[in-house]
Amino acid sequence: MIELLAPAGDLEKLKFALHYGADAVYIGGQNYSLRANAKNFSLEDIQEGVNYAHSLGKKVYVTVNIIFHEEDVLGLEEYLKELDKIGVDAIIASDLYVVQLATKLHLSLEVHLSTQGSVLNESAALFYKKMGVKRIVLAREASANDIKKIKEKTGLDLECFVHGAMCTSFSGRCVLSNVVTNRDANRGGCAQVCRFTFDTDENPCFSMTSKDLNMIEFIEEMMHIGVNSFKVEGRMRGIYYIATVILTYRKIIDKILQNSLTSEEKDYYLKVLNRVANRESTPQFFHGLPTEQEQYFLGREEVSNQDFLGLVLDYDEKQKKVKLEQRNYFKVGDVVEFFGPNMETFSYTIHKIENDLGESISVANHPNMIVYLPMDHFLEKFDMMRVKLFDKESDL
Amino acid sequence: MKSKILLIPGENTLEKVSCCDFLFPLDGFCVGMDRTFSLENIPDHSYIYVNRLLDSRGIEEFVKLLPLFSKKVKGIVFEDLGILNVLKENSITVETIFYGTHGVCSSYTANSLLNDVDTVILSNDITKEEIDEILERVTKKVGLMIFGHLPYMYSRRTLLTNYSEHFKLEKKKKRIVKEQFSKQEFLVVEDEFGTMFYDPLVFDGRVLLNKDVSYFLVDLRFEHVSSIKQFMQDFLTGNTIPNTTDGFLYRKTIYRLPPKGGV
Repeated sequence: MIELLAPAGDLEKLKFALHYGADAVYIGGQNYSLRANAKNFSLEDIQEGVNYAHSLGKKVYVTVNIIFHEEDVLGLEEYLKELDKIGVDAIIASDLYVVQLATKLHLSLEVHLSTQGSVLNESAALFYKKMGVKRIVLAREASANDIKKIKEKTGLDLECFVHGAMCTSFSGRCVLSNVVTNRDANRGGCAQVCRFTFDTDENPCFSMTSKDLNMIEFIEEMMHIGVNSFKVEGRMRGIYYIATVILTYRKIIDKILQNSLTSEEKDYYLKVLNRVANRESTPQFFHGLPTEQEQYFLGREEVSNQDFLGLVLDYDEKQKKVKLEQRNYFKVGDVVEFFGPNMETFSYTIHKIENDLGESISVANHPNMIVYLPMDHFLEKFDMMRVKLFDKESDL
Repeated sequence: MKSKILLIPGENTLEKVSCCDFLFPLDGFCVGMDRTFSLENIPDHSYIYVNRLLDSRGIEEFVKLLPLFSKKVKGIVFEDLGILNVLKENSITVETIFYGTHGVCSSYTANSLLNDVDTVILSNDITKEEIDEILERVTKKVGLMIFGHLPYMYSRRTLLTNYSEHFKLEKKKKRIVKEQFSKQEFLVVEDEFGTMFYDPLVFDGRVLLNKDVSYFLVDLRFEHVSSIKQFMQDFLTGNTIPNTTDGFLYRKTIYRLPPKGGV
């Protein structure tokens, strides 16, 4: 089984992730999840998300991955039972109490061990297997050798992060946020102190910000050594990021499975992923320890991405017009491209924009304004318009 | 039963101290230490300490030590649960003490672990009030760290080396760094197994000495005390120790931010 697993911070993101090719999504409820300050899902949202995913033959995993303090445990058992009743496919847990409780309750849902468990060796994996864990999200520090051995010795489902932000520490082995900001990192309050800068007795100042993870080069090798689930980080990310990253990995995985991925295509996908990210990305620990090349120094060095121009709301086949919701400034004369889960990416030169009164306008400059573009190409809800990035995929 | 003290020695001469047992950081299996010890060179029936998260090669190396365990090891303090599995699979009967530095913050978690280990050391980032609640509810006695530099972060990366190489600075394996806004200082220690961030001030948790626990952990890994015997005498009689912190004992953390514009 090969699975592409996407983050979803809310119901809208869940739908985009699934439409753009994810086989499963992981989400956080309003309690017990490590993104305490994200929008997250109410039980009703989870029910809707599960119904939606299951209608597409896809899965939903819910993170219950905080380290519990005495005060947090109230209501946990009822919550797990409720998740089970809703039909959630698995919970992702790190605290051994949650693992044991879920097993004891004989729930239908699977228990997956969170990356917070820091599993790097087959013996630790076997310990959790005996506890009833069906899948392990390996530590991001796991090397190819570690993954291979864990798979060989345990036969467990293995889930590995392939894309997104990295902790500087082993996940879960850090309370810098607690010390500096009083926000508990292991209960979802992480203030990302590892991205701050520090004075020391020498200049320039000390910093340890990690570049992001990007495993595009090694997806095929990961499949061969037994990784089952390819996980993208980013429950706080927007729909454009999720759509772009998930669609890219979907295409890569499918082409690898069909034995048709060319190096030119891989280069193109890498460029797309690099463009959508706000930090550089590298493979990190897969074939050796990260060096100074895998870090930033002297601050955050992040760029904001304004490539996302519009979201397709509808397409009128008779009038050959696409209805768009504006997301960033664009104007007549711009060369853009459209992409989506069921189409080849194509370029388009904007020669006319109409507002919702049918008047011609030269720019779309208001956030979320509704505009119409003449369009011969069939488009669907969920498709997106972005800045033209590179030579289009179909030209390869 | 009176609680035992497990003492991690620093670089001083090892003197036998009646009130405590030494906890020897094991060569090749510890990160962020000044001094480690090989199994061959410690006294028989000692406590050993493994604080690394082990990769597959690490666990293989650990298995090679098992033939010496019956003679050398009385108990083991560890963070990687793979250690526990190895001991069980090889029917090694030593005392097992789990010390997940930040992972045991409730009696529920502690009790789950206590099904499989002899005792656990509670996390360092909980309050005294939480410790009291946990001690009331655990099914077996648990341990507490009561002295030493609190570990705040463990990275597999070689962060000091990376910093030195990037800026072409002299390589150092220990530095003090100060976060620029909060002015909070950290002691950063690196070795081949990664980088640890510690509080540069020593945690003095002697207020916990009256608790009924399995072990008190006294960590002198960076303390260059001239005499352990003298140190322990001063420590237990309540003499003042300069430059200390009470860590999180009276400091409750939050994790949900208040809504914007309100408390």
